[in-house]
Amino acid sequence: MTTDELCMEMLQGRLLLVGEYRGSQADMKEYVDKKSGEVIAYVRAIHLLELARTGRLERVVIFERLPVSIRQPEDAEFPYRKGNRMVFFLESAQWKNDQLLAFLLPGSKPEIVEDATKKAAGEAGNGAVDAPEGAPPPAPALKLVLLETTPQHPL
Amino acid sequence: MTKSKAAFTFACRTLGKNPSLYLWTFTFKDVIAVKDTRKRWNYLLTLLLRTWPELCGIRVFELHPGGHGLHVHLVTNRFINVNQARELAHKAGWGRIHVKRVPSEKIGYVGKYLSKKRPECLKRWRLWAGFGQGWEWTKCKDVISNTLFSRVYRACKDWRGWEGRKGFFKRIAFTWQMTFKTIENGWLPGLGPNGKPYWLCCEEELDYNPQPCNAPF
Repeated sequence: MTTDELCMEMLQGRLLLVGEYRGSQADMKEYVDKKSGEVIAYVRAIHLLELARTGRLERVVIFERLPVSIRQPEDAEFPYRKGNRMVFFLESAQWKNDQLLAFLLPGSKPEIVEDATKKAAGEAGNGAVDAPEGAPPPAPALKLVLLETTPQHPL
Repeated sequence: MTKSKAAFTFACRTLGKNPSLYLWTFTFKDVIAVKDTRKRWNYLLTLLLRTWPELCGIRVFELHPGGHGLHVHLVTNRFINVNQARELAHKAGWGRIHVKRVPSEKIGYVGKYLSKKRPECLKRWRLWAGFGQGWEWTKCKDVISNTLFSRVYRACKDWRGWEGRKGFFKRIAFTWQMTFKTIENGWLPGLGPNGKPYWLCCEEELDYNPQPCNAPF
Protein backbone atom coordinates (compact mmCIF):
# COMPACT_ATOMS: atom_id res chain seq x y z
CA MET A 1 0.00 0.00 0.00
CA THR A 2 1.38 3.40 -0.91
CA THR A 3 1.29 6.43 1.33
CA ASP A 4 -1.32 8.02 -0.96
CA GLU A 5 -3.60 5.03 -0.59
CA LEU A 6 -2.99 5.07 3.12
CA CYS A 7 -4.05 8.72 3.31
CA MET A 8 -7.23 7.86 1.44
CA GLU A 9 -8.01 5.15 3.94
CA MET A 10 -7.40 7.53 6.82
CA LEU A 11 -9.62 10.18 5.28
CA GLN A 12 -12.39 7.62 5.02
CA GLY A 13 -12.21 7.27 8.77
CA ARG A 14 -10.82 3.79 9.01
CA LEU A 15 -9.17 2.84 12.27
CA LEU A 16 -5.56 1.90 11.59
CA LEU A 17 -2.08 1.95 13.04
CA VAL A 18 1.18 2.53 11.20
CA GLY A 19 4.49 1.60 12.70
CA GLU A 20 7.58 -0.52 12.49
CA TYR A 21 6.88 -4.21 12.54
CA ARG A 22 8.82 -5.94 15.30
CA GLY A 23 7.61 -9.53 15.16
CA SER A 24 4.73 -11.94 15.57
CA GLN A 25 3.98 -15.05 17.53
CA ALA A 26 1.17 -17.56 17.39
CA ASP A 27 -0.38 -18.18 20.77
CA MET A 28 -2.74 -20.90 21.91
CA LYS A 29 -5.30 -19.14 24.06
CA GLU A 30 -7.00 -21.53 26.45
CA TYR A 31 -9.85 -21.26 28.91
CA VAL A 32 -9.90 -24.10 31.42
CA ASP A 33 -12.87 -24.95 33.62
CA LYS A 34 -11.46 -25.80 37.04
CA LYS A 35 -14.53 -27.88 37.92
CA SER A 36 -14.86 -30.13 34.93
CA GLY A 37 -11.42 -29.80 33.37
CA GLU A 38 -12.90 -28.88 30.00
CA VAL A 39 -10.93 -26.63 27.74
CA ILE A 40 -11.82 -24.07 25.10
CA ALA A 41 -8.77 -23.33 22.99
CA TYR A 42 -8.05 -21.44 19.81
CA VAL A 43 -4.97 -20.09 18.10
CA ARG A 44 -4.44 -16.40 17.70
CA ALA A 45 -1.57 -14.29 16.41
CA ILE A 46 0.08 -11.53 18.39
CA HIS A 47 1.80 -8.86 16.34
CA LEU A 48 4.16 -6.29 17.78
CA LEU A 49 4.27 -2.83 16.31
CA GLU A 50 6.61 -0.06 17.34
CA LEU A 51 5.52 3.51 16.93
CA ALA A 52 6.19 6.89 18.39
CA ARG A 53 3.65 8.48 20.66
CA THR A 54 4.12 11.54 22.82
CA GLY A 55 7.74 11.72 21.75
CA ARG A 56 8.90 8.29 22.84
CA LEU A 57 8.91 4.86 21.26
CA GLU A 58 6.20 2.48 22.33
CA ARG A 59 5.08 -0.96 21.38
CA VAL A 60 1.53 -1.83 20.53
CA VAL A 61 0.19 -5.36 20.76
CA ILE A 62 -2.23 -6.35 18.00
CA PHE A 63 -4.25 -9.54 18.27
CA GLU A 64 -5.46 -11.44 15.25
CA ARG A 65 -7.89 -14.34 15.35
CA LEU A 66 -6.53 -17.01 13.05
CA PRO A 67 -8.70 -19.33 10.93
CA VAL A 68 -10.11 -22.45 12.53
CA SER A 69 -7.99 -24.55 10.18
CA ILE A 70 -4.92 -23.52 12.16
CA ARG A 71 -5.13 -25.81 15.15
CA GLN A 72 -1.62 -25.49 16.49
CA PRO A 73 0.61 -22.42 16.90
CA GLU A 74 3.28 -24.16 14.82
CA ASP A 75 0.97 -24.12 11.78
CA ALA A 76 0.82 -20.34 11.65
CA GLU A 77 3.13 -18.49 9.28
CA PHE A 78 4.08 -14.85 9.32
CA PRO A 79 5.65 -13.73 6.03
CA TYR A 80 6.50 -10.28 7.34
CA ARG A 81 9.95 -8.82 7.74
CA LYS A 82 11.07 -7.13 10.91
CA GLY A 83 11.83 -3.46 10.41
CA ASN A 84 9.25 -2.85 7.68
CA ARG A 85 6.83 0.00 8.06
CA MET A 86 3.42 -1.63 8.07
CA VAL A 87 -0.20 -0.65 8.48
CA PHE A 88 -2.71 -2.63 10.52
CA PHE A 89 -6.42 -2.04 10.09
CA LEU A 90 -8.13 -2.39 13.42
CA GLU A 91 -11.53 -3.40 14.65
CA SER A 92 -11.00 -1.91 18.09
CA ALA A 93 -8.34 -0.82 20.52
CA GLN A 94 -8.20 -0.39 24.27
CA TRP A 95 -5.85 0.76 26.97
CA LYS A 96 -5.21 -1.80 29.65
CA ASN A 97 -2.75 -1.17 32.47
CA ASP A 98 -0.98 1.50 30.41
CA GLN A 99 -0.56 -0.80 27.44
CA LEU A 100 -2.35 -0.30 24.13
CA LEU A 101 -3.99 -3.49 22.91
CA ALA A 102 -5.60 -3.60 19.50
CA PHE A 103 -7.59 -6.16 17.55
CA LEU A 104 -7.07 -6.66 13.85
CA LEU A 105 -10.08 -6.14 11.62
CA PRO A 106 -11.33 -9.59 10.59
CA GLY A 107 -10.54 -10.32 6.98
CA SER A 108 -7.75 -7.78 6.73
CA LYS A 109 -4.04 -8.47 6.66
CA PRO A 110 -1.11 -6.24 7.60
CA GLU A 111 0.35 -4.40 4.62
CA ILE A 112 3.68 -2.79 3.95
CA VAL A 113 3.56 0.96 3.52
CA GLU A 114 5.62 2.19 0.58
CA ASP A 115 6.45 5.73 -0.34
CA ALA A 116 4.27 6.63 -3.34
CA THR A 117 7.00 8.51 -5.29
CA LYS A 118 9.58 5.81 -4.72
CA LYS A 119 7.15 3.14 -5.84
CA ALA A 120 6.32 5.06 -8.99
CA ALA A 121 10.01 5.60 -9.68
CA GLY A 122 10.67 1.96 -9.19
CA GLU A 123 7.90 0.99 -11.59
CA ALA A 124 9.24 3.37 -14.26
CA GLY A 125 12.57 1.62 -14.15
CA ASN A 126 15.21 4.38 -14.56
CA GLY A 127 13.71 6.87 -12.18
CA ALA A 128 11.90 8.87 -14.92
CA VAL A 129 8.14 9.09 -14.66
CA ASP A 130 6.05 9.82 -17.79
CA ALA A 131 4.08 13.04 -17.48
CA PRO A 132 0.28 12.84 -17.98
CA GLU A 133 -1.37 14.21 -21.12
CA GLY A 134 -1.74 17.97 -21.30
CA ALA A 135 1.06 18.59 -18.84
CA PRO A 136 3.27 21.65 -19.50
CA PRO A 137 6.61 20.97 -21.17
CA PRO A 138 9.45 20.28 -18.76
CA ALA A 139 11.56 23.25 -17.74
CA PRO A 140 14.95 23.57 -19.45
CA ALA A 141 17.78 21.98 -17.55
CA LEU A 142 19.45 24.43 -15.21
CA LYS A 143 23.15 25.05 -15.46
CA LEU A 144 24.59 24.87 -12.02
CA VAL A 145 27.84 26.74 -11.29
CA LEU A 146 29.91 26.89 -8.19
CA LEU A 147 29.27 29.93 -6.01
CA GLU A 148 32.90 31.00 -5.93
CA THR A 149 32.95 31.43 -9.69
CA THR A 150 29.69 33.35 -9.85
CA PRO A 151 30.44 37.07 -10.20
CA GLN A 152 29.05 38.94 -7.22
CA HIS A 153 27.35 42.14 -8.28
CA PRO A 154 26.97 44.86 -5.68
CA LEU A 155 23.33 45.71 -4.86
CA MET B 1 -13.60 -14.46 23.71
CA THR B 2 -13.93 -13.15 27.25
CA LYS B 3 -13.83 -15.14 30.45
CA SER B 4 -17.54 -14.55 30.90
CA LYS B 5 -18.35 -16.05 27.51
CA ALA B 6 -16.05 -18.99 28.20
CA ALA B 7 -17.82 -19.61 31.52
CA PHE B 8 -21.16 -19.35 29.75
CA THR B 9 -20.03 -21.89 27.15
CA PHE B 10 -18.91 -24.29 29.86
CA ALA B 11 -22.24 -23.85 31.67
CA CYS B 12 -24.08 -24.55 28.40
CA ARG B 13 -22.09 -27.73 27.92
CA THR B 14 -23.04 -28.88 31.41
CA LEU B 15 -26.70 -28.11 30.78
CA GLY B 16 -26.47 -29.56 27.27
CA LYS B 17 -25.86 -33.01 28.66
CA ASN B 18 -29.62 -33.23 29.07
CA PRO B 19 -31.30 -34.74 26.05
CA SER B 20 -33.97 -32.09 25.74
CA LEU B 21 -33.46 -28.39 26.04
CA TYR B 22 -35.98 -25.62 25.58
CA LEU B 23 -35.30 -22.02 24.63
CA TRP B 24 -37.76 -19.54 26.08
CA THR B 25 -38.04 -15.88 25.16
CA PHE B 26 -39.85 -13.43 27.39
CA THR B 27 -40.66 -9.98 26.07
CA PHE B 28 -42.69 -6.98 27.06
CA LYS B 29 -45.56 -5.42 25.25
CA ASP B 30 -44.37 -1.92 26.13
CA VAL B 31 -40.89 -0.55 26.49
CA ILE B 32 -40.07 -0.22 30.16
CA ALA B 33 -36.97 0.81 32.06
CA VAL B 34 -34.20 -1.71 32.29
CA LYS B 35 -34.22 -1.67 36.09
CA ASP B 36 -37.94 -2.42 36.21
CA THR B 37 -37.39 -5.30 33.82
CA ARG B 38 -34.93 -6.83 36.26
CA LYS B 39 -37.43 -6.64 39.10
CA ARG B 40 -40.12 -8.24 36.99
CA TRP B 41 -37.75 -10.97 35.95
CA ASN B 42 -36.93 -11.77 39.57
CA TYR B 43 -40.64 -12.04 40.28
CA LEU B 44 -41.24 -14.29 37.28
CA LEU B 45 -38.32 -16.52 38.18
CA THR B 46 -39.67 -16.88 41.72
CA LEU B 47 -43.07 -17.90 40.35
CA LEU B 48 -41.52 -20.39 37.92
CA LEU B 49 -39.39 -22.03 40.60
CA ARG B 50 -42.32 -22.24 42.99
CA THR B 51 -44.39 -23.99 40.33
CA TRP B 52 -41.57 -26.24 39.09
CA PRO B 53 -39.01 -26.65 41.90
CA GLU B 54 -36.77 -28.89 39.80
CA LEU B 55 -36.49 -26.40 37.00
CA CYS B 56 -32.96 -25.27 36.20
CA GLY B 57 -31.27 -23.52 33.37
CA ILE B 58 -29.51 -20.38 32.22
CA ARG B 59 -30.96 -16.98 31.59
CA VAL B 60 -29.48 -14.25 29.39
CA PHE B 61 -30.49 -10.62 29.21
CA GLU B 62 -30.63 -9.12 25.74
CA LEU B 63 -31.36 -5.58 24.71
CA HIS B 64 -33.43 -5.63 21.57
CA PRO B 65 -31.63 -3.75 18.77
CA GLY B 66 -34.92 -2.39 17.48
CA GLY B 67 -35.42 -0.43 20.68
CA HIS B 68 -38.09 -2.68 22.15
CA GLY B 69 -36.43 -2.90 25.54
CA LEU B 70 -34.97 -5.81 27.41
CA HIS B 71 -35.70 -9.43 26.51
CA VAL B 72 -34.86 -12.46 28.55
CA HIS B 73 -33.78 -15.69 26.97
CA LEU B 74 -34.07 -18.78 29.07
CA VAL B 75 -32.70 -22.25 28.43
CA THR B 76 -34.28 -24.94 30.56
CA ASN B 77 -33.68 -28.61 30.87
CA ARG B 78 -37.23 -29.85 31.24
CA PHE B 79 -40.59 -29.46 29.65
CA ILE B 80 -42.99 -27.02 31.32
CA ASN B 81 -46.50 -26.27 30.17
CA VAL B 82 -46.44 -23.13 28.03
CA ASN B 83 -49.98 -22.14 29.02
CA GLN B 84 -49.09 -22.29 32.69
CA ALA B 85 -45.91 -20.38 31.98
CA ARG B 86 -47.91 -17.75 30.06
CA GLU B 87 -50.24 -17.25 33.01
CA LEU B 88 -47.32 -16.77 35.34
CA ALA B 89 -45.68 -14.37 32.90
CA HIS B 90 -48.83 -12.25 32.72
CA LYS B 91 -49.05 -12.27 36.47
CA ALA B 92 -45.47 -10.97 36.65
CA GLY B 93 -46.25 -8.25 34.12
CA TRP B 94 -44.66 -9.76 31.05
CA GLY B 95 -46.03 -9.74 27.54
CA ARG B 96 -45.37 -12.22 24.80
CA ILE B 97 -43.52 -15.44 25.45
CA HIS B 98 -42.17 -17.96 23.00
CA VAL B 99 -40.64 -21.38 23.41
CA LYS B 100 -39.01 -23.92 21.13
CA ARG B 101 -36.95 -27.01 21.48
CA VAL B 102 -33.25 -26.63 20.71
CA PRO B 103 -30.56 -29.23 20.16
CA SER B 104 -27.88 -29.11 22.80
CA GLU B 105 -25.17 -28.20 20.28
CA LYS B 106 -27.03 -25.02 19.29
CA ILE B 107 -27.36 -23.74 22.80
CA GLY B 108 -24.32 -21.55 22.47
CA TYR B 109 -26.32 -19.33 20.12
CA VAL B 110 -27.89 -17.68 23.15
CA GLY B 111 -24.46 -16.48 24.17
CA LYS B 112 -23.85 -14.48 21.01
CA TYR B 113 -24.96 -11.33 22.80
CA LEU B 114 -22.12 -11.76 25.26
CA SER B 115 -19.59 -11.09 22.51
CA LYS B 116 -21.16 -7.89 21.32
CA LYS B 117 -20.40 -4.50 22.73
CA ARG B 118 -22.32 -4.09 25.95
CA PRO B 119 -24.95 -1.32 25.84
CA GLU B 120 -24.36 1.52 28.24
CA CYS B 121 -27.51 0.81 30.24
CA LEU B 122 -26.32 -2.74 30.93
CA LYS B 123 -22.91 -1.79 32.29
CA ARG B 124 -22.06 -3.63 35.53
CA TRP B 125 -24.98 -6.01 35.01
CA ARG B 126 -24.82 -9.74 35.32
CA LEU B 127 -25.76 -10.49 31.71
CA TRP B 128 -26.16 -14.19 32.24
CA ALA B 129 -26.67 -16.47 35.20
CA GLY B 130 -27.65 -20.00 36.01
CA PHE B 131 -30.60 -20.81 38.23
CA GLY B 132 -32.17 -23.80 39.87
CA GLN B 133 -31.04 -26.41 42.30
CA GLY B 134 -29.27 -29.63 41.57
CA TRP B 135 -26.61 -28.35 39.26
CA GLU B 136 -23.45 -26.32 39.50
CA TRP B 137 -22.84 -23.98 36.60
CA THR B 138 -19.41 -22.67 35.79
CA LYS B 139 -18.79 -19.16 37.01
CA CYS B 140 -16.12 -16.73 35.85
CA LYS B 141 -14.01 -17.43 38.92
CA ASP B 142 -13.96 -21.11 37.94
CA VAL B 143 -12.28 -20.33 34.62
CA ILE B 144 -8.53 -20.01 34.21
CA SER B 145 -7.19 -18.34 31.13
CA ASN B 146 -3.90 -19.44 29.70
CA THR B 147 -2.28 -17.02 27.29
CA LEU B 148 1.20 -15.96 26.29
CA PHE B 149 1.03 -13.07 28.73
CA SER B 150 -0.12 -15.25 31.62
CA ARG B 151 2.65 -17.80 30.97
CA VAL B 152 5.27 -15.06 30.90
CA TYR B 153 3.78 -13.56 34.07
CA ARG B 154 3.97 -16.86 35.94
CA ALA B 155 7.55 -17.36 34.83
CA CYS B 156 8.46 -13.84 35.97
CA LYS B 157 6.65 -14.43 39.26
CA ASP B 158 8.70 -17.56 39.94
CA TRP B 159 11.90 -15.85 38.85
CA ARG B 160 11.49 -12.62 40.77
CA GLY B 161 9.66 -14.13 43.75
CA TRP B 162 6.63 -11.87 43.50
CA GLU B 163 4.22 -12.19 46.37
CA GLY B 164 1.14 -10.31 47.39
CA ARG B 165 -0.21 -7.33 45.54
CA LYS B 166 2.59 -4.88 46.06
CA GLY B 167 3.89 -3.25 42.90
CA PHE B 168 1.15 -4.69 40.69
CA PHE B 169 1.47 -2.11 37.91
CA LYS B 170 5.26 -2.37 37.83
CA ARG B 171 4.96 -6.13 37.57
CA ILE B 172 2.53 -5.84 34.70
CA ALA B 173 4.79 -3.39 32.90
CA PHE B 174 7.78 -5.68 33.45
CA THR B 175 5.81 -8.67 32.18
CA TRP B 176 4.89 -6.76 29.05
CA GLN B 177 8.55 -5.99 28.43
CA MET B 178 9.43 -9.66 28.77
CA THR B 179 6.53 -10.53 26.47
CA PHE B 180 7.85 -8.10 23.86
CA LYS B 181 11.26 -9.74 24.05
CA THR B 182 9.64 -13.15 23.72
CA ILE B 183 7.84 -12.10 20.55
CA GLU B 184 10.76 -10.20 19.01
CA ASN B 185 13.32 -12.92 19.64
CA GLY B 186 11.04 -15.89 19.06
CA TRP B 187 11.50 -17.36 22.53
CA LEU B 188 9.17 -19.99 23.91
CA PRO B 189 6.50 -18.56 26.26
CA GLY B 190 7.88 -18.26 29.76
CA LEU B 191 11.42 -19.12 28.72
CA GLY B 192 14.48 -17.16 27.74
CA PRO B 193 16.93 -17.66 24.89
CA ASN B 194 17.64 -21.29 23.91
CA GLY B 195 14.70 -22.43 26.00
CA LYS B 196 16.36 -21.65 29.32
CA PRO B 197 14.25 -20.52 32.27
CA TYR B 198 14.68 -16.87 33.18
CA TRP B 199 16.56 -17.62 36.39
CA LEU B 200 19.18 -19.55 34.39
CA CYS B 201 19.81 -16.69 31.98
CA CYS B 202 22.26 -13.92 32.63
CA GLU B 203 21.41 -10.25 32.38
CA GLU B 204 23.04 -9.84 28.96
CA GLU B 205 20.97 -12.65 27.51
CA LEU B 206 17.77 -11.12 28.74
CA ASP B 207 18.98 -7.58 28.04
CA TYR B 208 17.79 -6.83 31.53
CA ASN B 209 19.00 -4.09 33.82
CA PRO B 210 18.12 -4.94 37.42
CA GLN B 211 18.76 -1.34 38.54
CA PRO B 212 15.57 0.67 38.68
CA CYS B 213 15.55 3.46 36.18
CA ASN B 214 13.02 5.75 34.61
CA ALA B 215 14.17 5.13 31.05
CA PRO B 216 12.06 2.80 28.91
CA PHE B 217 13.21 -0.81 28.88
